[in-house]
Amino acid sequence: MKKYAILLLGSLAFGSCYKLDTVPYDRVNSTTFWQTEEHAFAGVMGCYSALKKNNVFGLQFAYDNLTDIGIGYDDVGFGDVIAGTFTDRSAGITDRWKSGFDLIQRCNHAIAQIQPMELEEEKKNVFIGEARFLRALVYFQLTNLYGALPLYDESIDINLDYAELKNPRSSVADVMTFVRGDLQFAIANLPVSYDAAHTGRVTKGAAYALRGKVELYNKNWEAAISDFEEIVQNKSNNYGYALANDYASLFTVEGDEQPEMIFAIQNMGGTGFDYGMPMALYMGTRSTFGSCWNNSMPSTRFGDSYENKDGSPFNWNDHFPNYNENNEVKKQAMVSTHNNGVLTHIPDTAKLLDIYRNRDPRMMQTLIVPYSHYMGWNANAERDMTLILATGVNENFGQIRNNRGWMTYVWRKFVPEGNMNGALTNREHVPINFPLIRYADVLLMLAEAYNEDNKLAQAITELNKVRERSDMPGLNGGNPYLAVADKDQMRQRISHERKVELAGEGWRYFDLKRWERLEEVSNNFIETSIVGDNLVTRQYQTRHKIWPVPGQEIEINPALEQNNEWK
Amino acid sequence: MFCRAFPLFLISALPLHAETFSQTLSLRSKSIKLENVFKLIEEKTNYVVLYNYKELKSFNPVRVNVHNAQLNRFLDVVLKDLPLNYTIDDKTILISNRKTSRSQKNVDSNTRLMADELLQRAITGTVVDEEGTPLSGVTVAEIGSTNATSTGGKGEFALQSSASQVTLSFSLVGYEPHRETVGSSGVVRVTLKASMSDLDEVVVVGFGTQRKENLTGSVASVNMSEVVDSRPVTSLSAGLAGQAPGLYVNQGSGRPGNDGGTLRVRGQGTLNNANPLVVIDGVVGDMNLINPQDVESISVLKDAASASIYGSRAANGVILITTKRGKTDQFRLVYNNYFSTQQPSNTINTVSNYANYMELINEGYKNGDPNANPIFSQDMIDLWRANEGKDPLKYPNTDWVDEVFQRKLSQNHNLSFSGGSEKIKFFGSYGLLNNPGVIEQATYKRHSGRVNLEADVKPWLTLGANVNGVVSKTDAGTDIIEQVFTFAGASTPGMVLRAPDGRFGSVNNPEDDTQANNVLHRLYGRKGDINKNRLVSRFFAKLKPIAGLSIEGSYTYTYDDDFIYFQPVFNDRWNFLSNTVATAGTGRTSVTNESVKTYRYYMDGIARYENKAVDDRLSYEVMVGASQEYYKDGWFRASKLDLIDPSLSVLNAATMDAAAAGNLTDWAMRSFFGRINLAWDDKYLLEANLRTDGSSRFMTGKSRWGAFPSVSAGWKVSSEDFYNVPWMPNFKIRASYGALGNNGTIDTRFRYDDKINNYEYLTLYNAANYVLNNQLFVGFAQTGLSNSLLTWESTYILNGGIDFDLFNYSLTGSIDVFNKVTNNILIDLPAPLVVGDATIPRTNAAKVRNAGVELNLNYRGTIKDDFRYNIGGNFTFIDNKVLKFKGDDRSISGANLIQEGYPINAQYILLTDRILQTDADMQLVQQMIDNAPINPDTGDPVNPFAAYGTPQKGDLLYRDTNGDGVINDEDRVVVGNGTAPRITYGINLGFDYKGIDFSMLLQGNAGNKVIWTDNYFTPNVRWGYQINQDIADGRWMEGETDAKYPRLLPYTDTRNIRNSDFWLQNKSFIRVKNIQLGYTLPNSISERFAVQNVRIFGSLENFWTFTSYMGFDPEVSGTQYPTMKQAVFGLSLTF
Repeated sequence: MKKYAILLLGSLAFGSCYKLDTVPYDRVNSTTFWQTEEHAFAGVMGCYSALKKNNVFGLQFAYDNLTDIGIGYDDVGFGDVIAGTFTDRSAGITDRWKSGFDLIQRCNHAIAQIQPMELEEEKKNVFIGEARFLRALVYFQLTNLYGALPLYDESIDINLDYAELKNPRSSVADVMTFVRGDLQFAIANLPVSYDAAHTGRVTKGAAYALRGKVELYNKNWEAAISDFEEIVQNKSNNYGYALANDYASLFTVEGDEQPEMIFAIQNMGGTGFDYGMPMALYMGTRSTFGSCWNNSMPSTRFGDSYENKDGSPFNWNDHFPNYNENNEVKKQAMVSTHNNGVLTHIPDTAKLLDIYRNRDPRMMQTLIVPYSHYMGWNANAERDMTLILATGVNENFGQIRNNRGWMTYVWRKFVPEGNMNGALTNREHVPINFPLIRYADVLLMLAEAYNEDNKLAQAITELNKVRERSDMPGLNGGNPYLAVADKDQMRQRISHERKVELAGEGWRYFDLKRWERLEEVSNNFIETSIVGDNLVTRQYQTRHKIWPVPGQEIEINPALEQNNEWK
Repeated sequence: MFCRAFPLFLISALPLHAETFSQTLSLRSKSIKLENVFKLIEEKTNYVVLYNYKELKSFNPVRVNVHNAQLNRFLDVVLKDLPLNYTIDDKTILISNRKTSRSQKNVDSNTRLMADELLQRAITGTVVDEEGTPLSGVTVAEIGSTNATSTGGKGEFALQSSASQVTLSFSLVGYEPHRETVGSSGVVRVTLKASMSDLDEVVVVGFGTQRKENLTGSVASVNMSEVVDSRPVTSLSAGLAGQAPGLYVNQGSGRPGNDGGTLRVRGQGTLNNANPLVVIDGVVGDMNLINPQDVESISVLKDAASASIYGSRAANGVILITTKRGKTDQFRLVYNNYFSTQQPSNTINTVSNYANYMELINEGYKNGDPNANPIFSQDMIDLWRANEGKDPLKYPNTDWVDEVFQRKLSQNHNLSFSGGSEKIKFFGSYGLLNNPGVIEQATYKRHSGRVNLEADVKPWLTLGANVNGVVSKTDAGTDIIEQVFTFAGASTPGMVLRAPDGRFGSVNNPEDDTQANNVLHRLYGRKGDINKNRLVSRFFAKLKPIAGLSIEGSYTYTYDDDFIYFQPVFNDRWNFLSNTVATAGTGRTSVTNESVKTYRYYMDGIARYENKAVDDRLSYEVMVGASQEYYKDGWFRASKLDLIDPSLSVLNAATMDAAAAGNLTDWAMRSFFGRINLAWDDKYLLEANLRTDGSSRFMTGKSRWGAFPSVSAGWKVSSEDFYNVPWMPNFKIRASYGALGNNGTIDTRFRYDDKINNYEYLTLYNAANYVLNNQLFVGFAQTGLSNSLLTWESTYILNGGIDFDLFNYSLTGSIDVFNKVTNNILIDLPAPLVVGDATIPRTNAAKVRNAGVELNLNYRGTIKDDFRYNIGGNFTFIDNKVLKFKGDDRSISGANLIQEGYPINAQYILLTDRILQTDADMQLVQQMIDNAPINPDTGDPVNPFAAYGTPQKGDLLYRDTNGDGVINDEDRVVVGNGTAPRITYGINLGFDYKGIDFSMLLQGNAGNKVIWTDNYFTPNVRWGYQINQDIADGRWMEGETDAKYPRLLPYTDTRNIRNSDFWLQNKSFIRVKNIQLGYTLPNSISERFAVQNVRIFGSLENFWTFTSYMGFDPEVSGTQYPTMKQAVFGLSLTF
């Protein structure tokens, strides 16, 4: 009997079967997702979140290193592109392609899943409109980098087709048609604004602004003017965009939601809230919160290009005879000597700071200039720091140090001060919103479109709005230095204004490319320090005007033809 | 014939006051043979009784009734009525006939010698096997004489010897030869160990055991207790290297607590996880969490027939581990230990002279950008040069290898006890390992305990339990130890890592990269520990309701519990030249606690029936069973900022913001299996298996379940009547074919391997949150794609083999040939980049073949009886080829290629023509430019060097292998046979002689080549990074014509470090894995300490490696924690 009892017990134990249908604990699966409006919203939020990836817009500021604005080192600072040694295998080239398409595929998936959902048509189209805007934004950006692209829309099912995504490249014109289609849909369906809680989502105005930019890049001046005027002149809606009173305030946590921000990546920080972007890490210095790296630095020629307050061109020789010609004079004027933190010789810093203060105010709002102060973070506390030009400077002495040992300006714009009263807990997650399109940019683009469309006076009006905000005298305002007579002179003015207004936002690379001026500012240009030391030689080749399609991608998809210049 | 029997009664022996004879004897018997009386005397006293058996035989049993008598009194009484005399001399009692005794009354020493020759001593004993079963037919011979006999049916023997010190040798086919010195009692009990090379060996196979003689599959077995008892084997897998044919072990790291090897059974059969299934005492387990000293034997199931009973998870082979059991009537206490010193087996030579280093950095950067100001000024270089050999604190020339690696003593202690009676058997052990490692902050301590118990509760019921616990603790630094090698590469020789007073250094030169790493500072940047606890408990029952039928069931619960605690430690870094703090060690204090838990539930039930039929000519065994398993793996982590005091270490001691994270994952499997074994006349053998598995990793329906059948047959040719080959007494032919499955067995844990995805067939969404109006909004995105079609990967193995014994069983061996084809390989296909950043699910995509030969030979010999030696070797050759992979498509990952018709991970690389050194060389470049093809779009000649840059003097000139006039990626060709070795082998040799034993294990492999360039081995220089000394010495400079390496360039210029054969390194090696010398004290000495067996040993582990590979170690991939050279000393005691 006992035997059978045990047998029975044994079979009972076996009767309790372990379930073979296991589901994950931390993720939702497709059988329960995409049912409600909340799901659709969350799916679209997932698309937005990819904007912050380093290789989408997270390192947007670093593109300035490829222009006359900045210099940089290592992959994150585009060191290999500057040196001209980048190839179709370079990580920066490969990763930007990959992450860009990541956002595109997220949008495709969200659009495909939301379309059949049973939601109010209007709401549904807002969600789809947002996704299509984001898709257009990235396609536009990638086209400007790589040229023609393979097109993928919501008709693909990435879970089934991932191994077979092997479309050939569509022409740039076809990609632009695709982008226009998305933006047309966004314009038609997105609201002018959202309730306060949802500030930061894509609006109708943002879609107009982006479409205007697309048309501008494609030299469709009238179309560009039409889109820009729509929001500048509030033609069919009251969009409510305006320039902020204080330029510097736009790049702070307090001011980053002013009406000037047409579309900005929304950032946030704090312990456990890693929802920011890495401006501190790659634009800051060892004095910045968490000890950062200055992978991106403003160039000396950029610093020197800021006008004087009265709009006249700046020239060091006006202040120190022979400064431009003689590096010894520069060193006399600029360099301190110090021993273990004790400054033993300081140049005339009062004079230097007067020179800087007498410049376009955006200069000191954008750059930390020698002997100016910055609220750093050192030994776990806020600490006043000074940029001292000397060998062996160290934040432990209260000195800002360029970790290359180079004597350059460093960025002030976007670089957090102190720990932002606790808002900053991670140097890779700065809580300052990063603008992708702001009103000043739109005004300058409108000015450009007018100018190209032979409407010089209107162009000057729009550009002067931007100068006026920073108390800079307007063009053709009486000052002889600021006289503009023709389209070509105006182009120079627009170029300058975009450079100083948008520095640190990463758009000049794209401007120089479309103006075909990249070679002019890059070819064999030797970047120097403030005191004239040679830092790095830019190696420009014709092919650098366009990036190669990643070699790794062509290996998998031979239908992708490499750019002619890179064959 | 002389013989003696055992005493019939016990005699009490009490110590007594008498000086002459210290003991008294008692005996009461109505009838006892004289020789038994003498035997008793010998047992109870220290006396040896010498007598002439022939004479003694003529006497009838005597009646004795003596109580507490002294020896002489006792003998008087016993011999009173007999015509016998006795004399007591020293410790010998001479029994003599009264007739002759008179003349011997006044014997001198000479005549007594004569008597000794006549009078002999009886030696009796029994011989048993390890189970306690008596062994008959054992040859027992006295060493140094012609005396010999063999044991009878009960394992007993008797022998006469005239020598007072006798050593006997015991030998029997199938058992290890043994020798034993006979003590004063003249009684010996000998246990013979089964020899592992012989066919009578019982081999553990899936869900049962099998006599090796009757194996039809391909199974290699290793007697692990021999391997680990005296080697510093801290992880079992590493100890398997070179031990079995077809099993390749690569020890990729010597890091304490992580020094396990990667195992491959018959090569890399899949592109996926190729780790074999490890089954410990019947349950899937982790080989590296078991105390190596607890292991009795290991079987490696290599072909489909052997492994298919483990079906779905056996595609990569199965390793069965059996831990030690108690043995009937053999109570033993064993203590052993070893102490070992360790040092890296090889290190990398970086430039340590800082003045030279600065010049090299300048040279490299100047080659890249001649306009740029040099990084280091001549003043600094001169300053360092002038101070060479002076104050090393101010002007260091640091060789990081010297600073980072330390010599420490690692120790291991192991205590075990075992024994049993007919009804119950037990084994228990405790082990302690303390391995401080060769890098600071890397200490690993492990305590392990085990109890194995088995009881025959009823004649038809056996119950048992195996309980195993492991508690280990590692320094928190261990977690970041791999980073040491990243950080040490990103450092410069101009830095004092740690001053004698304990302060950490930064770069002293203000022109150097202040962010250059200090590895020691990094290592001490964190404190805490990692505590791992593991419990494996298995309960089983065996039921034998009727003869031949047994029913077994088991339940196993495994629980892993890791607790990790760490907190940052802030240390200043100093510039010792200016004697100021370079980087202040300040930051917010915080504490992190992390808990990782894994549960595994496993149960199985098996019924087995064996019987014979057809006049006992057919023996058969049928087995059916079922098993199921559930695995749940989770972790959570919490951290909190601002400790109220940095000495505190728990969350409640911190005051500010807290953060938390955690996750769980699980999978389950259910299986049904069966097996039939048939043997006809014990000559023709047949086995068939079938197993079906359902896995939670696949979608319900047909992709979830897989069926894996196999069949094998064997023919014992030597058992045939017609067989008559005296020099080959044993010969067997085997063949097998079958299928195995793989669901992507993952044996690491979720927390430690974020690639684990148990739900790949499900479309899933991860959190991808976004911010609006400074509020967090939940977002979802697919960060991993799904493949709903995912299913089993199946492996088909055809195996043929022979087993043989030659020359009176002194040479044994086996040869196997196999063809292993894996279909539907679950592979991480490289997807187009346009898919985005989401992880790509595995796809059942490719077909790979591994064909090969395995050879195993062992020879044992004896010279002059007491010098025994053995030599053995195993050899495996594997040819690997991708048979099918997406047509002509290929997958290229770095230099590794997967393409139809090539071995897995063949190197797809450029060929290097030369280093351009002379003007004549440069002509080649100019020729290519002059003869460049025309771009049809532009009509201009193309730049043939556009892809990598036009080479200059000192650069590599790649070959235009496709002859299109342009050098680019299209010129890559397939080189070599992949990154896995084609040939692996191991050679054992050893001897023992008079208590001295020696053994040596050589291990090697050949046929694998791999590209190696990293921060430690590159001609590209980088500010703040190390420079390789060999490359610096051999670099091209203007004027050089026989440079070994290209010129130095800045790290951003990759033209010379493209994947090319220039950087291809041959990882073939032969290594003296272990050399060992031991000495076993003679029993006569060890018995004085009440110890049965004392062995002392010394060994050298990994001491010599012969290879052309230039990195740390040919077994280590890239630059990480190296394998260790160890010198070991140890002691083993058996009580």
